Amino acid sequence: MYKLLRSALALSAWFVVYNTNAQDTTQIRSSKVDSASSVLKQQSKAVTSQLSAPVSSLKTTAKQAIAPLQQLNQGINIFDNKKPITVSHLSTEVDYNYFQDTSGMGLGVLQNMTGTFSYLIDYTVGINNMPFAMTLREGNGINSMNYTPFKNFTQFNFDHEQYLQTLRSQVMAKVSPDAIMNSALSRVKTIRMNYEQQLQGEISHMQSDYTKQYNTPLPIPTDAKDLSANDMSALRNRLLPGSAVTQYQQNLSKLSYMSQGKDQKTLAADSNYQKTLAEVKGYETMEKVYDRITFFKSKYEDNPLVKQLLSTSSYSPGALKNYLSDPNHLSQVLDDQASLNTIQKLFYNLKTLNLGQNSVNTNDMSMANVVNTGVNGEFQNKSASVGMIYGQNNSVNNWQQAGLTSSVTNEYSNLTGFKVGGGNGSQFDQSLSVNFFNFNNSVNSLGSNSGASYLPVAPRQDGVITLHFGMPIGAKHNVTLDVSKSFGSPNQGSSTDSSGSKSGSEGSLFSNSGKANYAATLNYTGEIYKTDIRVYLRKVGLGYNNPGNALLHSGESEMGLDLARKFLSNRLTVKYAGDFKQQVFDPYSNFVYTSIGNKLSTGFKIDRNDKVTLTWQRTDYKTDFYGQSPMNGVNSRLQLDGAYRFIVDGKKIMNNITLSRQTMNIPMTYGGEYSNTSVLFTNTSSMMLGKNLLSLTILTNQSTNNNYFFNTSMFSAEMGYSYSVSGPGNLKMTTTPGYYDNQGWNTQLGIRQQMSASLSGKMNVDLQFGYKKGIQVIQTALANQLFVSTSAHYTFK
Amino acid sequence: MLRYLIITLLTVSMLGKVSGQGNFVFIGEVYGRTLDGLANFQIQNFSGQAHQGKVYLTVKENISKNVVVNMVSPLITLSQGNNQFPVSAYTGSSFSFPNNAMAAIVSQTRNFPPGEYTYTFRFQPNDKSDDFESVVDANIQPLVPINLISPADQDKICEKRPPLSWQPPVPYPPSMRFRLQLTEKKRGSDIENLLMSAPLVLLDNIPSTTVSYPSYAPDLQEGHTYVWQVIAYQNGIILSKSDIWEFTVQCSDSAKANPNDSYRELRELVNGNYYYATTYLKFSYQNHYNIRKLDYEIYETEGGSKKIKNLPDIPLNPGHNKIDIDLSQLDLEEGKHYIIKVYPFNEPAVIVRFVYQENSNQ
Repeated sequence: MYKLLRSALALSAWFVVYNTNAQDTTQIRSSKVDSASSVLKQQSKAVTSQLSAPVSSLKTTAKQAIAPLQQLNQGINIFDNKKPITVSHLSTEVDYNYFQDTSGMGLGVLQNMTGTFSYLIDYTVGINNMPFAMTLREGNGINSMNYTPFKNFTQFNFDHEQYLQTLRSQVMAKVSPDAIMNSALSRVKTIRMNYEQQLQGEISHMQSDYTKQYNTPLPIPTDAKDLSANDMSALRNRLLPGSAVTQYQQNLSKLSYMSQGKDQKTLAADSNYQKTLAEVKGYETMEKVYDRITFFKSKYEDNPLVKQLLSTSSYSPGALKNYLSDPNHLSQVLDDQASLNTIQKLFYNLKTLNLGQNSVNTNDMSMANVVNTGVNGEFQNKSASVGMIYGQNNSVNNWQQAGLTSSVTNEYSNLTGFKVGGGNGSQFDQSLSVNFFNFNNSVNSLGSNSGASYLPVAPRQDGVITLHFGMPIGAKHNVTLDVSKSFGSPNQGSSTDSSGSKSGSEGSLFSNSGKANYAATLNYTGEIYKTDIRVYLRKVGLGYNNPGNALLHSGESEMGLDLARKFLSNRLTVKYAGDFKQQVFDPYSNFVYTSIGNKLSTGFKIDRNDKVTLTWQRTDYKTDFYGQSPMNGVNSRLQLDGAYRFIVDGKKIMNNITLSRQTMNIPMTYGGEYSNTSVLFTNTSSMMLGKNLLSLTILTNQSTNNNYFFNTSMFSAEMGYSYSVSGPGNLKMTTTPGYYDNQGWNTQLGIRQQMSASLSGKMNVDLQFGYKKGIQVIQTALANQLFVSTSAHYTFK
Repeated sequence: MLRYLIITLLTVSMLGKVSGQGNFVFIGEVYGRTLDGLANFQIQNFSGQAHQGKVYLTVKENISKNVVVNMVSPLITLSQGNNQFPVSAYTGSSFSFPNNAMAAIVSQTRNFPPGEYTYTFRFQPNDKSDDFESVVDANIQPLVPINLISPADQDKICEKRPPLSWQPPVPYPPSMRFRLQLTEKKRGSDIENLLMSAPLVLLDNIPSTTVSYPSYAPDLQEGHTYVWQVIAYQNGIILSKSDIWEFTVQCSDSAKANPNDSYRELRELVNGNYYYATTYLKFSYQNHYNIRKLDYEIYETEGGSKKIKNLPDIPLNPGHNKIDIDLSQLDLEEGKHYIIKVYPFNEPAVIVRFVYQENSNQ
């Protein structure tokens, strides 16, 4: 019943939006036919005036006259292709990686893998000329062939962006620039008519007031409200001619004279006085009318959209393309000039239709960091949008979680969500979404090394309702606000128990006895004094629980400021990012964690080849936990990046250099401090030898922590030589011999060979293999390394 | 890992208050953090015979002295010896939460806030035989989430084998280990691509908070974007996941997408019309002489007609030239009008107005 209700709600909302859109289209169609008739009349006049011309010329002229009429009356068939299904793209990719790690130093629990295999099939199909992108991707499992359901790896998505792009290019190709501009001007006309209606309302009001008071009409020319008129002085002369001004001044004197020594009653009975008064008030009313006309005219002419549309008077392809890049403009041109069937029109407004395995990323307070297997759709027209999502959770990452049990238990079983919001014609971006999460995982796969394990979950339904509001302020500022509230608690079991235990329970989905089950974020992005600015505030209540984003931290408050500015003709760039976070873990504030982060980056571009960037970053941590002394930690990094070029013997040598020092001091749980300092230096120099590239990379890392192979002090030198091999396949190869010294572990000599080939323009193959041999072995782990990485990509179409 | 588990199980079972009929084995520090973790206990039946009954569990927080949750299982059958509490029994259990803030937090989030907890398990047989209970204490410490440090989110870096570092939970438990995954982010996909794709770099069992880029992994490629995430675990339990961050390898200035616009003829436009120049100003130019460099200037149209400096040199060939002037390197503001003055040799200057636009694809 509950599911049925939700489905019905979604369906009805969908139809409301679609019908609204259909009505809009019908109105536009009827106005289109009207304008077509007037064009026909004008063109017919043109034809008549050329009767004296030769017959051939007349025929040509008639043809030209009728062509735009056909565009307007029938609409151009945008799609030539009548096939119901077309395949526009098909490609496959296969990847295989092998790494010999018998020690488990690198792959840990996954050390027994003999290699990883993944494949991808990309397929773009046009259904009724609407593009759908299908992807089949497997490789999200340690051994996905065996236990992961096939459906988890497929997706079939409508490519709305591609569809608009296709329509745009078809319009550019098939609709004449004049016709496109007709649409633009019809929009201007619509806007003007709106203003004229408002003006007419005010004028009528003033007229009726005047007539009511003085029992005489106040005639105003009907074309006075025409805001397209340019000669305002002529209008003023018509409404307020020079003789009227003189008459007005004379009447004022007359009134003054007539009213002397008379009371109001006498004056009211004096017909001469009343006639003069009516003339005076008539003049004053006319002045007011003229003021309103000029007011609405300037309002119309200063309308940003009108300005933009009128500025697109150039028929250059760039200007037209720019005009059509706005979906609303494209929609207008399609409505006016083109012929699309119902389904094609429907899909024009279908922003999203994703089927199968897809990431869902609306915003932090709604859905993020989630992969859903199911359906996710959103329909948006000019006035409203409606969306829905349904599916099962597919966020499990077996690569990351194999052999481990997740206590980050937000992995819901399935999800149903709805969203309603404003249309693309709205100035504001606003939406309200409600997501319901069902937890019903009874699988307990503890101890498995082949996949992620989960704790069994007490059956429950959680819900999250999120309001999003985005508001542009001028052209350079944008403010967004998201407010979210969560609700839900474990369901009652079906077992019988004592009524006393049940009395205090909260089984209802909408129960809300917890504290602070809300979250909110406020963002400002904009530009002030040529400085890009972002300010954000975020608060997540301690009781807030959004399974749609498992990475939100309950009890955390955060504020941040980002600044970026360019100086010296864009050659000097300065960026700053700072944030403050405080997380309170319990309702009594017994456990509090605070961090303050700062990052400053300054880049200077000397010229196209030489530049330098200095980055400083520091984060301070503090914990204040019950029963423990407050503890402090710090992490800091100072890094210099540079690129420079010099010339030796006519050869240009490009260099990239990085010098970085990072320090981390973190208190340990049972006393003491984890400390790690590393200084990294890398320099890569490259030069062209004929058509081939020679590069030398030197890397040295000095670390205070040599107990771990991948963080030990080390020195390496590699010389890579890239060259092409003549013959079929355009084979490119890179051979890189190297010397590696890993302090406390081994000294190695190695070679890495990369090959890439392109066969007949359809197939690309990349192969990389490497071998490192320990010539001095202190610890056997990873002393000898063999690794292979291959990738083949074939484009069928 | 198994050895640790057995030792811990034995230790905890020793700590529990043992009664004659049976005993509960539960690792509070590991499984006592979440409501779902409460299902992971064993029941040892010493009575020598099977019993049917219910399990009653009460969790109390000792600092606030609040009972946080009561759980009552459906009827279960306890065999002789060790019994794992059945999953079906857990999912069919009844939960009740008293009226206090701690209980409300657990009810809403399924996570126990940090504190000192006492877990009291009691088995109540159906057959009137003696019940038995075990009490387990656990100190639940807060889990400060791990945060990635470098490469920073959305950063552009030059190194093709960059070191990766992150901040561990504070304080840092010595036995904590990390697993790192780095995956290429395909064009047009979201950061959640990491959850759906095979890794390019996978490192497990990391005892450090900084790793050098593994020597066995292929170089990262110029112009490609990568996503990465680190998880922290202890005793086989995932305790924290970092955010998913992305970075792009980009050594040189980005190869700007040269818009596929046509090369317009350079001529003065009438009626105040103007060109749109998206990143590049493109026009065709007829060089009737052997001039090697385009002579041109660009001015602002507003604010005093300031001359734009540092214009790039445009080489010319005799005859027809297709000119691309990269405007992105100049101090131009998007949406503003500018004037380009081109001085052909021995001919009057051509003045064209244009509106600068940045490429939205970048």
